[in-house]
Order: sequence, then C-alpha cells, then structure tokens
Amino acid sequence: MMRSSFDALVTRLTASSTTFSERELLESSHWSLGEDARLREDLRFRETPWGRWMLAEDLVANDAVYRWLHAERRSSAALDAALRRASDLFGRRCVFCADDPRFVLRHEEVRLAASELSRQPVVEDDVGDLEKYQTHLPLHSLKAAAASEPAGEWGKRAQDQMIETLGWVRVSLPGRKLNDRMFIAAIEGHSMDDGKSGLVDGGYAVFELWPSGTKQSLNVLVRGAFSDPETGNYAVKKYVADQRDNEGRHNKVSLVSLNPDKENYPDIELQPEDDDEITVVAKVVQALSADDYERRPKTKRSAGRRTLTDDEQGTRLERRVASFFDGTAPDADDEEASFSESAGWQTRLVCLDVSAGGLYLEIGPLDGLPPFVKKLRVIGSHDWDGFVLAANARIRPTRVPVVPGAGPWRWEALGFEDEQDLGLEKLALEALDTSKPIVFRVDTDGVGLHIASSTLSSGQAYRLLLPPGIGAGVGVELSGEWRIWSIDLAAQIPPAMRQVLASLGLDVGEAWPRLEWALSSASTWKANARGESYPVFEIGAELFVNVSGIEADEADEAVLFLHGPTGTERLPLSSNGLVSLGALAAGRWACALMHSRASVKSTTLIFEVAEDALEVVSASLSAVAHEGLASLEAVAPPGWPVSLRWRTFASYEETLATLHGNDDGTVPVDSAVSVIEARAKRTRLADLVVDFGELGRRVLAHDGRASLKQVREQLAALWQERSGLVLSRKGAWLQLRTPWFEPVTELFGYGLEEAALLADIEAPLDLTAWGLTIDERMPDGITRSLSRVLVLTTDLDAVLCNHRPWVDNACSAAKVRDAIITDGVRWTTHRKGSQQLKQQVWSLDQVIQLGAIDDMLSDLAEGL
Amino acid sequence: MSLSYVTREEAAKRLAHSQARDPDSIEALCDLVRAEVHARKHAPRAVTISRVARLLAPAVSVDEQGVEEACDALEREGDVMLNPGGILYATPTRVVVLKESARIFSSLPTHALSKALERDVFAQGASRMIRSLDGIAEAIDDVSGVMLTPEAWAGFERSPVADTAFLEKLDQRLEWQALGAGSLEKDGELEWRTWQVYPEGARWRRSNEGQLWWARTRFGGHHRAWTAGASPATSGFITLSQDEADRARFALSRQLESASLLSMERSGTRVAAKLPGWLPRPEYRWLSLHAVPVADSKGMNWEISTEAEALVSKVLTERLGLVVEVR
Repeated sequence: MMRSSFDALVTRLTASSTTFSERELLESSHWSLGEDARLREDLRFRETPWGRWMLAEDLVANDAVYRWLHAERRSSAALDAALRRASDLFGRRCVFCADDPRFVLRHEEVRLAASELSRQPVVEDDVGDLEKYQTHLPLHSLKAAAASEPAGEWGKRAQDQMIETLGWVRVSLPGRKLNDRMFIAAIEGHSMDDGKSGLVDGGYAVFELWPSGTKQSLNVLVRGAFSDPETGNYAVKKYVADQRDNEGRHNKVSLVSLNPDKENYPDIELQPEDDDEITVVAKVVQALSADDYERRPKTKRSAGRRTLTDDEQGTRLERRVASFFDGTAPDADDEEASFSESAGWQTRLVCLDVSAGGLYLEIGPLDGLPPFVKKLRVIGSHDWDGFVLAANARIRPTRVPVVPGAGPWRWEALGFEDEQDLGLEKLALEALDTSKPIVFRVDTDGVGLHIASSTLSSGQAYRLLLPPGIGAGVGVELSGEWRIWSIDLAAQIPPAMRQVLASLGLDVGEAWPRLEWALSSASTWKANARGESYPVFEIGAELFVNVSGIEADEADEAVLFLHGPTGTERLPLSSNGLVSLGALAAGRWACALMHSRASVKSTTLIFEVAEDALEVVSASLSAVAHEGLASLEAVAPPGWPVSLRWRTFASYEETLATLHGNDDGTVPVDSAVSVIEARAKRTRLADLVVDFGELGRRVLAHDGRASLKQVREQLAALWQERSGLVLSRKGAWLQLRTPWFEPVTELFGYGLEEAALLADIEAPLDLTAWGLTIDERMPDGITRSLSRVLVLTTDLDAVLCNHRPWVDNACSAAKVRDAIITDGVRWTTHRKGSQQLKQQVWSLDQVIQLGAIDDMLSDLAEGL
Repeated sequence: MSLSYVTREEAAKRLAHSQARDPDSIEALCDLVRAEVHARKHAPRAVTISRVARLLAPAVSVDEQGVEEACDALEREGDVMLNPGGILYATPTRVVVLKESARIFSSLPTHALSKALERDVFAQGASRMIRSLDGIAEAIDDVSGVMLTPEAWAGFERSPVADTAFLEKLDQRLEWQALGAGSLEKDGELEWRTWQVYPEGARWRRSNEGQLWWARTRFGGHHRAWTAGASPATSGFITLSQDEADRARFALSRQLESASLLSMERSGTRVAAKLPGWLPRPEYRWLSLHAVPVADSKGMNWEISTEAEALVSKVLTERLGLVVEVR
C-alpha cells in the first residue's frame, strides 16, 4: 500500500545518505496538520533496527562498515567512501543509520563509539613527512627509548632513525605543539600509579627526549646502575635531588615511586657516586587519556567463541585479580569490569527486597571529601530528603533508602550548602523513567544493580521496579503505587511469566550462568581501593560454589576456572550443581565460570584466603569533653547504641538522644550538641551521662555556675539593659519574673520556684513570696532543696517595719530560716524571728556604681 | 586445590561434619547468621536472612522462616544488634562470668570463638557458654572483648532498687518538676488506670485515687505517670519511663507481702519459679543468666537449678521486694 502524500518523502530519502526519524519525516507535512499518518502504512519505507526510517529498496550499511573498521583495525572512515564501497559490493544503494550505538557520525565521518574502542593505539607503519611530529608521534618501547644514545650523538638524523620505533600514532594534544624529540611509550608497571598521575600500567604517555634544564620533581625515564623491581635498569620515576654542593654535585638523588605502596614499589635512593651512572633519557610530557590518540577497535572474538584454555583464561584471571586488588583500572577487554564498579563519585540506584527497604541511592567511597563535611543530604522532589554520614560515605559505598518517585536527586553538604568546590554536583541523578520498568540484576550478594538492558538472561535473578500503572499489579507494593517484582529466571520460565515480561517490554535472552558462594560464610568482607567488596576465607576451610544457569549443548562447553597462587585449574561443567573448590592455600583467587560462546556472559568471584582472617569487633569506648560539654567526643563499636542522658536532681535522667556508633567507631554526637548546649545553659548542676549499655557509662559533670568575675559583669550588664523595665513595672511581678528575677536570682546562685506552699498564707498589701532553691552535688547524686524565700514588695521599708511576722510565716511554711526581700532594685535579707532595726539594704544602682557588688553578693548569694 | 562436583547428600554430610551438628538445627542456623553479620559488620536483616537460606539451599532445604526465628533469638540474646532501618550489626564479645562457667554474647561464630578463646564453647539454641575459666581474662583481651559481672551485664548498676527510697525520689521530682494536670490529654481524654495493691494481688484498675498511672494513647503507645494521689487528668504529675513504671509497680507492691509472692516449687535438682508479674528489663536479663524461661509462659515461669535457687531468691528479694514462698 502506498500513500500519495508520502511521495515527497521518497524524494527526500533518495537524496540523503543517512536515515531519518519518523518525526523528522512526518512532523511538518502530516502531524502538525493533525493527520495521524504512519510510515509503516506505506510499503516504500522500512524501519532500521535502531528505529529510524529508510527506503525499503535501500540497504543499511552499518554492519558492513562495522566489520571493515574492525578488520582493518581503524576507528573511522569517511561516510561517502564507506557507502560507495558498500554500494559497489552489494550492487544497491546503501545508507547509514546514525542511531546505531556502535557509531558516532560527525562531520561526514563515521567513527566507532568509545565503547567499541580498546585502549590500544592505531599504529601506522608509514606516515608522510608532513604528518611526522605534526599530527603523529613515533611509538617506542620504553626499553628501546631508555637504551638510546644522547641526542648530541645523532648528528642530523631524526630520533626515528636512532630508536627502533614500533610505528606512528596520531595524537591530539590540545594546547601543546609537537616536536621532533617527542615520542609515545606504554608505561610498564604500577610504581607511578597514585590514582592521579595517569601513569598506569599499560597506559600511554608522551615523552620528550634528552630534556634540558633542571629535572627536579619531573617524572622522567631514567636508566642506570640500579635495579627496579618492575623494569630492571630503567624506570619511569619522579626525580628528586637535594641541593647541589660547592662542587656542583648532588649528595642524594631519589627516584621516587608515586604509588604509596612503598613495600611493593620502593623508591630508588642513589648515592653521590651513582650520580654519574644514571642518565635521564626523557621527561614525561603528559599521560595520554583515551581521547588523546587514535584507538584500535576492540578485538572481536572469532565467530563469537571464547578460548577456554587454562593458559589464556589463567592469564586473564591473573590480570583481573591484579587489577581488582591493586585498585588499577580493569583491562579494556574485561567484559565483567563494568558490572563490578562501585558508585564512587556518582549516585547509583540499588534495589533490595521490599522488606529490606526496596530502593536505595548508593554513593561512595567519596575519596577526597573534605573532613569538615559531617553529613550529606540528598534532596529530591516533593520535599523528600535523606541523610548519610560523611564519615561512612568517605570510606565505603553508603546507601540511603529512597522513594522511587522522589527524583531528580541532588546532594549537598549539611552546613556547607553554598560551598561550590565540593564536587557534589557530580552526584546528581535524574528522576526515574515512569514509562517502563527499571531493571535490577541481583548479584551474588543479593543486591540488585541497575542495568540499562531490556533483555533479561535466564539463569539470573532480577528485581523489576515498576512505576505506577505499569505491570498490572504484579510484585509487592513499595510506595506511591510503585512496586517491586522479584523474579528468578534460574528455573524453567513459565509461559505466563514470559507473557508478563513481554507486556512490560522485556524479553529473555540467552542463559547467563550464575555462580555463588554456598554452604560456608566468609570470615570477613573487605573492600578494594575502588570500594568493591570481596570475601576473605579462613585458610583450611573447604569452599563451595553453586553453579546454575548452565545451558551447554553438544557444541558448547562451559568451564569453571579456579586461578590463584598455585596455578589455574579447570572443571568442565556438565550440569548445574554444587562444586567444591577444596581447601585453598593463602593468597588471592578468582573463580570464573566461562562459556565457549562469547555471547554468554562469564561470571567471576574474586576472593582471598588468609590465616587469621577474622576481624573482631572491639568493645572499646570513650567519652570526653575537654572544652565543655559541647566539645563531646565519643567512641563506641560500630552500630552500638549510645544514650546521652541529662541527669539532674533526684537521679532523674532525661534521655537527650540515642545515637549509634559510625563504621569508624566515632559516635555522631553533632546531632545532639545543640540539645546538650540548651540544657547546659539553663541548668546549674547536672551530669551528662554517656551510656554505652552493658559496656559501661561515662559521667561528665556539668557545673554551670558563673565565676565571681562573670557574676559581676553579668549583673552590671543586666541592670544597664533592664533597669528601666524594672522601675516602670514595679509590682507587676509575674511580668518581671522571666526578664529580671530569674536571671538575677540565678546569678545569686538560686533557682526560682513559685512556692505553692505560700498560697495559703494571706498576704498583706502587695506582698508575694517565691521559693529560692539550690542544687547540691551529694554522694548519692544531685539534690534540690529550698534555701530561702524571696519576698517581693513595692515598699521594702514598710515590710521591714510592719510585716516581719508575715515574712517569718513564709519562712516557716517553706521550712527555711532566711528570706530575701526586694522591690527589684533594693535588696535586703531577713532571718526568721529577727527584729533587727538597722538593716543593710543593697540598692543595685549604687552597688554597681560604687563597685560594691562583691559585698552584696556575700550577703545575698549562695555558693560563690 | 581440586575442583569437583559434590552431590546434595554429600554436601549435607560434609556440612554436618564441619559444624558437628545438623545443618538445619537452630544452633547451626544461629551460627550462620552470626557468621554472615560478623563478616560484613553490618547488613540489612532481610538480606541476611535471604543470604543464609540461599547459602544452605544446595545442601539442605531451609525456609527463610526458620532463619528468621534464629535471627530473632540472636537479637534477644544480644549476639547481633538490630538497629533502626532494619540493619543488623556485629557485636563485641562480652563474657559474663557466673560461678563455674561463663555466658558469652558475641557475633563471632562459635568455631571462631572457640579458636580465639582456646577452649570449647557450648551452644544451646542461641545461647553459648564456656565451662573452663582458666586464663579467661587474657583470652577475652585477645578478642578486644570485655568481662562483665552478671549485675553489670544486666544493668543493675544503672537502675535503682524498687524500694521506698526510689518512690521518694519520684516524689521529689513531683515536687519540683510536676507537669500541669491534664497536659497529656491534648489529643483527647485518656482512660487512666492506677496500680492498686490488694492482699490477693496487685493490678491495674480504673480508679480516682492512686500514685502510679498508666494509659494507652490513641495511637497505641503508652503514658506512664506518677502523681501525689489523683489521676494525671486532674493533678500535677511526672511522666515515667517503662523501667521506672515497672520499678514503681514492684516498689508499691512491696508494701504487701501477698502482692509480691515468688513461688518456688522444688522437683529433684530443678526448681520451678513463678513470678508475680513482668520483671523490669535489668532483672529479667539477670534472671535469664541463671534460669531458663518455660516455653509459652510469657516470662512468668522459669526453671532454676537448685544451686542457683538461693541466689535468685536473694537478688529478687533485695531488688524488687519479692517474698519467696517455697512449696
């Protein structure tokens, strides 16, 4: 069937060497006019495997171009030339589909995508003179470069005539001009790998031969009378020399390894007499990143088969073990590497069972996160937020449970929200796509890791996170109508399940074998430098793995490899089942399940066997506060509950917070500091009890009483600030209580209580009496008792003349001997039963003016 | 090293041999949970249970329910800790020395514990003990653990005796820190019950008079309060923690012998003890070191050895004022 309105599209496609999306073709001519047209209605068009459209009579040339680039070990080709070649070959017009993820189409040039490229450079044997040292540099082996003669002895010859070169490599070093002393070489060994230099084993770097000037602190290629553990009598090291002496000689020259593991990668120390025996052959100009040079396509395994020989797999596993434990970048051809990367400085989605919290965000280890950051906050939409402790995220992958619909998410450091340089913007994560299931493959640890593929592998377990309205109610509800459906494809997949998966847009592909630990637990789990965890087993224990998902037919082979310090062993797998690895020697091991068909993913368990592998949890604890309670620091076992209690009189303990030890043993007291400070501020005498349960408790005494000097200063300041209020509100005692009487009596050393016991005593005139309490630290704890009565009056003289019996009654009712009588400004004392006519009355304004506060305090205050 | 297939039957046999017990026994399951938690230092509870079940699946069929029960028992015992968020944590080794033996609380699996302490460790259910105490202090040091008295482990040092002095301290707090009458009833009227002590026993009752009060909140929680004599709805009060309320209950019952009877019934080398009510947590922990709770008695009936009878009677009498009645 053909639609006449599509005729113009045929013309458009005929004129183009690439394909179009349906929208590009139909938007302006049909859809924008409200017409529901589809290209599938017309036989003249067909869809490419990548969802774009072309003329049905044309051929898509992508696969052919892909094969040619691989066969010729090139990474790019001109589009026109490639299509012409394909047309000549197939005898039909060919087009290119730009949505093929294997390619990038730029400036009419077809390039293989980064994921298709290895780290190996494209080495050209012959390049034109115009390209030499302009766009291309010679590639040497380090050994050959190290053995070269000094440049002064070359005469007019170029370096490529003096050093046996391996070929030429096209490089691109923005901002740097190439010169004829530069060359490229692959780094050998790990000694210069500090995680930052880029000088990693097998990586490439640009060198410059025979550098002039000082070499101090430069990374150099040096040869001499030394023996480097990795390379022998030449090495790439950082050159560090001391000051030259009067004779212009160095007394000490160090060839420094950047790798902090000095045990395996020691520095080379040279004595003065060695100075003449070392030669700096070249300096490192820069380490090359993958984008700096033209790379070869990844090697394609022949006809989709793996070679399952001990030698090949043993070597591969050895590299994998080394890369895993040394924290170096995995081999470019390591097909499993991408599945074991930890989150680091990015946020990863992790899915556990619903009962374990369901969906989590995982970050860490956050190397380089400044120590002043104590807590990280992740903020989502709809006011959702979550927190992780920076102490934990700094050293290991750390998770926070998350509501699926709360994305997008961004992170900030609590208290440093405006800090721009923390790098937390790298942790931002987009909201989840609500139009399809989010697929998590369950690893051997039971943790679901997010995968982008919509093809599931039989033999594996998955968790599908289903957005609202997707999946017709399968699985268990998590939150907000999001559901988690856990499926195990190890067994025969029932047709009904296959049907549901298909309705979700998921299909089941080839079997992917599963390999998991069985029967015995590890002694401990550790993490490598990249934060990936691995088990450590006790030496002598028999180890078992369970193999499932094997679907080997007659033409195929599945093999279990075990590689470690004693070599490589293989077991051809005929069926699923339990396999004993035996009791292994101490060392680092890899157990890999490989299938002869390369399309079947291999799976590897990396582990260690060690003596006394078990790590104990220490019961040690401490709590100190060197500079007041706000400086509290506490140590407890990880996860151990620690209660902070505020103990006042009558042994009453108020729980301020219950905290749990961090992974590094510190207790996150920061969250409780404000509460402690608030309590300390308003309590004169108390204990902060740091209770570690049965492990013990630490009691930190708090004495909040101000010193005499502080009392003088604070009383004067209080009078200056509030005297107007006191004079104007005389008699309005309740109004003056909080701003005046409470702080003043507190400076005198009392607590102020509204003594209910005086309510029954009829008060003459305007008299009011409150109780003054004191707290004391006694052997059995802190006690509180009434010490005096505070009598408030507007006419202090009248009370002294006429109302002493009433004051005596108030003292009797409160069971105390003394009273303080005041109108707020003038203060005096009265002892029960006393009729003393001449009474010392302290007027605050005069006392402060005359500097007689100390005398007043000795009469009125308690415990100074 | 020697790679070889192992049948399910052979695997079960080897597992039983290495653990010296049935692989699906409660002791074996407890040890696997301990090993998983200890090795990882902390792990989500649900994931741990599922991992343990999967670990055993190639040799024996264990459902997750069985592993969960083992996990529950370990949490009660204190060998693993369940923290907020459902995360299980490993615990340090705590050794509580009894008369001629010691109880051990730790997430270290039994074989590792035995090796570290250089002596046999006996397991029964989730509980573990050692019978040899020679050089135990040094051995505990080697695992960075602590040695505790039963009283310290139970928490006696951190909780007062239920007596008149304890009640006086509540009165002192009431004198200085009383909250206003009815201030707990912002969400609606509460149905307060008071602890009343009668010659035939003590119980919570609806009344207008009493000092110790309890009410259920509308959200299913509890309020516990102490007053001078009237309901917290009509008089000043202080709030009590659960332990304070439990202790106040025993201190009030202490006034009447018949309200706080601890019945002991001897039968051969065992003594059956019946408590007059739920014990406060420290006393419960202490008793669990010296006695075994009778199944399905909800902690009210215990079985004690005749050697421990006198000690149990003495401590519960001193701390809670229980009056021992021997039948």
